Amino acid sequence: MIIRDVMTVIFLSLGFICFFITTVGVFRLKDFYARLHAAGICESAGLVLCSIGFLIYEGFSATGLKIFAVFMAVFIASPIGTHIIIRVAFKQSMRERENAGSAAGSPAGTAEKEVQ
Amino acid sequence: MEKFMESYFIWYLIGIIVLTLLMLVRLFMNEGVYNRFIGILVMCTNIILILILIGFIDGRRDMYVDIAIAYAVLGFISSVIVAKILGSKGGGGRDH
Repeated sequence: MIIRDVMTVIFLSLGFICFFITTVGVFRLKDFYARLHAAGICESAGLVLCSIGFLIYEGFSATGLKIFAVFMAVFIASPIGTHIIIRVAFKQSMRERENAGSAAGSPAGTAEKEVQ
Repeated sequence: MEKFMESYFIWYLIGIIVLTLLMLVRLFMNEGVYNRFIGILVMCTNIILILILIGFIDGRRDMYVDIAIAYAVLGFISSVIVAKILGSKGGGGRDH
């Protein structure tokens, strides 16, 4: 019994560290893409560790399978969501660079426009 | 031993809620649609964890895990829809 609780505490604490890293990452990182990368950490690493911790605490039962389903759903969905957002943001910044480039007549190598 | 796990979950819940509120502050601090969307994305994952945690504290775990599943799927769908709006000309992605 004790081992089960100790393992749960270990995995949940590791999960909490991942969530903390994400928050620090989103606050500290300058560029939009780096910040989105930090957001990706929390979804994959954080939820994986927390789900393992909950599964250990829960044991093999219906709820355990449901927690595994939550983890699988997020684990598959979050990279797709992040990819879509990056693609749109990149296209947006490309479109702005072309407008800025053609309007100002400056060469294509304008400063990297920060994605708003 | 059970007492310890109970208090551990509660302190864990408080920690996660503090992190989520920090993300909320970040959401309002900087402007720009895409930066705010990151805040929503991270808060959505935090809330999934909060739901499962409350389930474990409350004892009625099945119900909260079901809600967490629904929330995870809805969070993903909302991010796809927001991306679609921003991508099309209509969205524009500008804030002013």
